[in-house]
Amino acid sequence: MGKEISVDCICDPLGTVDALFNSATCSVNSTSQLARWDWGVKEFFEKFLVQEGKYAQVPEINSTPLSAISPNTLVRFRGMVQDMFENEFYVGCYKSGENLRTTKYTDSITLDFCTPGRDSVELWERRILYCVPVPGENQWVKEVFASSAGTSECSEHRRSSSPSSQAEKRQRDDGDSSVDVMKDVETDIASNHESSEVKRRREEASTSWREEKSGSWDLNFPLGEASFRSMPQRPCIVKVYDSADSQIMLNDVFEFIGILTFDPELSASSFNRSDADPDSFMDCNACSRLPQSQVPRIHCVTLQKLIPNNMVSILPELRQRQTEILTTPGAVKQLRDIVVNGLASVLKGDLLAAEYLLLHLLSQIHKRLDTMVLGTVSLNIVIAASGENVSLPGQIAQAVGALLPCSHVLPLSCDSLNKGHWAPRKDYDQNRLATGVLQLAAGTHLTLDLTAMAEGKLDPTGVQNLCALKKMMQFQTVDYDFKYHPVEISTDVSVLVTSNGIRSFLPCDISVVLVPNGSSSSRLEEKDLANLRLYLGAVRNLEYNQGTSLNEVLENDLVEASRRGGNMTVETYHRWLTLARLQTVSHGETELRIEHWRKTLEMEHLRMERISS
Amino acid sequence: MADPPSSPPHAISDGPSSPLSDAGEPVSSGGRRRRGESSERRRRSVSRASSGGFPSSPLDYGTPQGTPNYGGNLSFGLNSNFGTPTATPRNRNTPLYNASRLSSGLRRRSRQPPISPGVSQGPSSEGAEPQLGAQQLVWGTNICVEDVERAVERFIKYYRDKPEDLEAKYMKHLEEIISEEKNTLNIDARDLWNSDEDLYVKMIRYPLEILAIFDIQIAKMEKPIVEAINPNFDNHIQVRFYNLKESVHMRDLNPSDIEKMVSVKGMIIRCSAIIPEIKEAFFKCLVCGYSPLPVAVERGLVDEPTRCPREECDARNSMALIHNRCRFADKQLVRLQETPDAIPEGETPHTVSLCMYDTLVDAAKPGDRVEITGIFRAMAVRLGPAQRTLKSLYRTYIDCLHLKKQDKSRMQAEDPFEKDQSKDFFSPFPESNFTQEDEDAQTEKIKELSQLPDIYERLTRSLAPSIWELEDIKKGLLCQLFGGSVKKLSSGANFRGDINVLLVGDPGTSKSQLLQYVHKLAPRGIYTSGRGSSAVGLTAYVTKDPETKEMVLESGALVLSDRGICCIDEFDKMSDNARSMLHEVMEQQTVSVAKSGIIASLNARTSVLACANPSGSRYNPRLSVIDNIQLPPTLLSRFDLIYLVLDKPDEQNDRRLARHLVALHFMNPEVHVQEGLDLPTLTAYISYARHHCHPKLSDEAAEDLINGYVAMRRKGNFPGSSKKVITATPRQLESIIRLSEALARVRLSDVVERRDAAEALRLMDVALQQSATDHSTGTIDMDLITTGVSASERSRRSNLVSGLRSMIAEKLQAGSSSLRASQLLEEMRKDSTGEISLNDIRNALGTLAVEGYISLHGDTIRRV
Repeated sequence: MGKEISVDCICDPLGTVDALFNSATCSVNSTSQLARWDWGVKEFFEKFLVQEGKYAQVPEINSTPLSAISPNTLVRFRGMVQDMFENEFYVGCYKSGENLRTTKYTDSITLDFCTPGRDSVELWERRILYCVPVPGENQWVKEVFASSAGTSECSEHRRSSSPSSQAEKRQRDDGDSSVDVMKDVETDIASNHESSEVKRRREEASTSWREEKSGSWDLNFPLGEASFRSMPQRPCIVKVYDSADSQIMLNDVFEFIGILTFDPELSASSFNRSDADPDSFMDCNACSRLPQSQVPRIHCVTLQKLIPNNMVSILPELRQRQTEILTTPGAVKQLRDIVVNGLASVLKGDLLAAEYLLLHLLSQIHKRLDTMVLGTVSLNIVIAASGENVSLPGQIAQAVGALLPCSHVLPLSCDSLNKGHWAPRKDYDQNRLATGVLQLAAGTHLTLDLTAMAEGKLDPTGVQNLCALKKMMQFQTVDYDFKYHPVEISTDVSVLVTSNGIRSFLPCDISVVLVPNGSSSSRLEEKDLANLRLYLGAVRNLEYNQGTSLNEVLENDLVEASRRGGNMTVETYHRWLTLARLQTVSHGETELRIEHWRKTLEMEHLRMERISS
Repeated sequence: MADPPSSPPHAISDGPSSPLSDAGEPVSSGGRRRRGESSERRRRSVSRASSGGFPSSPLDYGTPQGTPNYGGNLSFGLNSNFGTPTATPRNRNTPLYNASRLSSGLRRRSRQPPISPGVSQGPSSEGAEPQLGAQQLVWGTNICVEDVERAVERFIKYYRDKPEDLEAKYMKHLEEIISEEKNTLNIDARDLWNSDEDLYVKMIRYPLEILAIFDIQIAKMEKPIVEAINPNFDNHIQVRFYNLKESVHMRDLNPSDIEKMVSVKGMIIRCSAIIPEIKEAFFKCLVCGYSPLPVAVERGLVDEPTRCPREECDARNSMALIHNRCRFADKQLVRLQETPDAIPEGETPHTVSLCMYDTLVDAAKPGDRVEITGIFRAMAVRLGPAQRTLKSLYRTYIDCLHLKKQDKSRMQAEDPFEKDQSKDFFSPFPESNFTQEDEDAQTEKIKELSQLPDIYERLTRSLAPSIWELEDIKKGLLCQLFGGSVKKLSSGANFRGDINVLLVGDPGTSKSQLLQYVHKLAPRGIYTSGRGSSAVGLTAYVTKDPETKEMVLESGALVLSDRGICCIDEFDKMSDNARSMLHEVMEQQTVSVAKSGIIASLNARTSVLACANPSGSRYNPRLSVIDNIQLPPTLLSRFDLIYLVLDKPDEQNDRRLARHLVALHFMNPEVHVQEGLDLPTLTAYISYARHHCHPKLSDEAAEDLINGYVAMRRKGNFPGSSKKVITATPRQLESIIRLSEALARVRLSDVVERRDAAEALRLMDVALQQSATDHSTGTIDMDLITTGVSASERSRRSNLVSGLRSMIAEKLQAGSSSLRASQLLEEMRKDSTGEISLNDIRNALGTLAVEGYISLHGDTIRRV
């Protein structure tokens, strides 16, 4: 069975599923046993993707227009779990004539229940996730993934038959005409080219639907659709099976590999419903109301959790290169110098600020103790208010964006604060979680630009937003508003604040006064960027373990510092220890050495001097 | 018989199809009585009575409330064309009348569910029925009707809570129901479990069938009682089960629960409008005016006669629906959401749809926490209203049988006499998701813990273990979490049991962390920041509802945290207006609103935990607390404990702190939490204590407290000193009592013992010493708290005033030249030894000006 199926794994995954199902039915006595396992589907596909190296051939729908992919084929999708819909009960398997059939991994069903043999129908359950493209994902990440995605045989066929420009113009449509389209697509695959008649009809259909439907659905992108710039992105509804073992949490980022389905009949029925209709009240699946043209459905076969700040590491060759960087002597040092100098050139030659910025970029939560979070360092870069510095916050954010996979700039002003709810809220009318700016995947970097802040009045929404922001910076949690009670969701967002004064009204761990130092050294070069990104991703996730050898020294230094007076608080200690840790990993090391500790203290000293002067 | 022979098969209006047709009966008795009984209808019931010997068809009773609506009164019901034994011969006069009716009724119903796994095809032949008497199994199940009937009868007739009870529990209930003309019999499922496990298990697995049998048996049993007590009684009595042995988590409902009886806890988030659902359609021929028997609704479909059934007329398409002669029942769709504590970390709450019928309609409002018992059902989704093809999807919902509202009091409820009086189907339940067994185990564990000699220290350690030291503050917070008992005097006076705590201290001393921690521990608490919260946001406000344009009263943070802890960060940043509202809340524990014609007093029995930063960036030890935080003394005195969280350099302390932090950063976090309690246990412990312990002062403890209080007051009287310093006020006495009660609760003791009193006094002393120490004399001075000025300060000021008076008398003649304040300052400095500031001089001059001794224009002084 193996070989012949594997050829079709990408183009005809459902065939593979059916084959596996059929062989499974032979080995069990009752249909209820079929519900308990996936008949080796996951295993089979994983073997196919990893061992046979077909991973790269699976088209990636983040970067490919939908029209270039035929339905019922295998696709990859990278997204953040934005909302979790209610679990779906579906007919798992049923008897059709003599044979058992399954509807797992597909939406469509053509059986008529009015026919006898209903007693052999089994109900199974699947999870429904609403996933959006990773918020704040930078262009370079998309490019890395897009270039890794090869072209599979079946999608190549599609592309050759329809020029991509034309394909992009089109949108998959819903509605009555789409039944034909669906058939067309199928015949199309079979014959490899489409008649001009079909083309014309499809275009007609798609344009008419586009006019009617586009924009009428809130697709819940946390950072808004504008954040995608040139490349339009779409959310997906991912249906997950047998997921009891894998813990899926809100805001987790996954790469799903699954079967893209398209069932025009289903979407056709979901329109024309008014809210007064008790049906829609009962219909808890917001999922069935979203048009498939804008929110494709993916039936997940296998999934892999991504570390958002090191997403590229799931690509084998890049993972390899990261290991190389860490193991080659001198490589880390070299890269570290490049990045510090590069950042310094952005920061007007200020090396100290560049050091802090680097440490800040590497920071992430490493421990949570009841309400306390250890590891995050929020940084406030204080820029003197002058004409030439106006563009500086933007430049800093740009540099951050070039280095980190996910980042976003949020200019703070009274207007922006008053506008909309930043913390996500449950919309009970739609039964969906309405997203907000603060719904971000762990590891996302957020730049808050305070330099644009002017006097003004905050309305209650603005105050709420500000409180939510402060809470996120202080405790790394965001309270999602479920109307009757909040639900506290943990985050791990590093926040960089650019402001004109030392005392920002946001609680920052560290404030660095920027001191321009004319000698602008080497800029961040395009050719280095690829390696720098790998370096940052690699060292950030190093396992840090601390021997006890230095504890004595640390304790003495802390006691000494507090004896000398000054503003020594518990928070200062925490800050120093965290910075020392970051300093260590930035050198690609996993154990604190005395010189890193000394350097940390020296940097802190210099920083305090700048503040007091 | 009444049925006209010409009746089309689908229009059968009694017999097997009547479970549906009669479903609405309770409603009609519940006030929505059908208008004008038709003559046909009456005729039918008469004929039934004659045939069955019952006041009405037995199957009227065979319809459990809630269950009648099973097969698809949702309009998307499954439209299967079998399973409707419409042609079942009705062998009316056989001795098996009930049983066969029942069995066919049951059979029908068990076939209705869209999917009933394992249910095989229906009975092979109808002709077999008369012989089924001996062993009648409802097909697809292991239910033997007769056995179950006997078991039900046994349970109802003989179940007693305690063996010595004279009357059977449910027979007594039945009598009450009949005499009060109610129509629901609530049965505690645990009683059933205790008396007949087998029947309980059957009921869970095949609720539809068993409930039907229950109803029929009840109907049989009620007959003699009805005749004896209340002959006019003609309600259907429906059985509602509640308090199942196990309640399911909403997210654990899975396909195997379909068609089973389940019990789910949650919060109602939405209610649909009431849907009048047609139960019996009444048609009339427009040509001849003939009306056939009302047509029962079958799974949401009305079978409209295509031609007049009267043979003489036989007009085509002449039948019209007469609305006001149809029968309707109430239905409501409700959505239930998981309670916050049931949501796993990082997930969103699940919801489930409920169908409520008849009396349950509008029984609960959005926001109510309820436990419902019902039957979990799945319904195939049809593609279109008129299409027969189905999606592979199923929609699930729960047919609600019983609804239990959570009592209004919060998790930390403590006053049993204030609980809502439960009645009918609303009985209170504790909020947690534990089953009885878990609860018992938990209680055992808690009791065991309370016996530990070091439980107080252990609890203190478990409170925010990652926050360094601050032992006494944590102890104070612990007392706050446990709380004292509320005292209600017969005169109506009320003494609060809540302990208010204020933390004042330097920034960066983890005050917010402590607050956050307490907030986490007391889930019903509200966390708010003084900055940006207005008076109305804290208390209550009146707004206009955008939809109804009516004025509605909205609760603010303090009202919302009634019986919880309201954590207020940045207390000092709060607007004066908001603070003034707190006066009432913190002593009277109510919030009064008088606005837009709404005058209301709302309960706000909340403990306040506030933290404030000193008005300068750091605490100035030379100034009093009042000066440091700039809070009105009236408000300050309402805090039982005021702690200063200062960071004093101390080598020993610093070293330990450093070690703690280094460990925190580099070690395994598990290592450093030493034998404390984990968060859930701590919460359970506290809520158990608040629920079950209501400590009273023992005589010795009372004695000790009095002595302690007297001693505290005496501290102000130095031997030989004439000035009187007040060290303690009656408010402090109340606080000490509260603290000692809280400490008794820590041990789960109902008696306040001497050691509690001693610890309470110590805690008070510690808090006072920190906050109420007069730094110039080193003694505790309550004046500092109550007026903001210490006694020694006051005497210093009066000295200054008299000094100035004499100086001015020397230097200035009335009406002559003027003096400047700065000149006076220099003069005074020459004379006195103490430090005098310009401000002091100004204050003193102000006093003199008020006395009319001098006149003051800016800094210029003139003698009057």
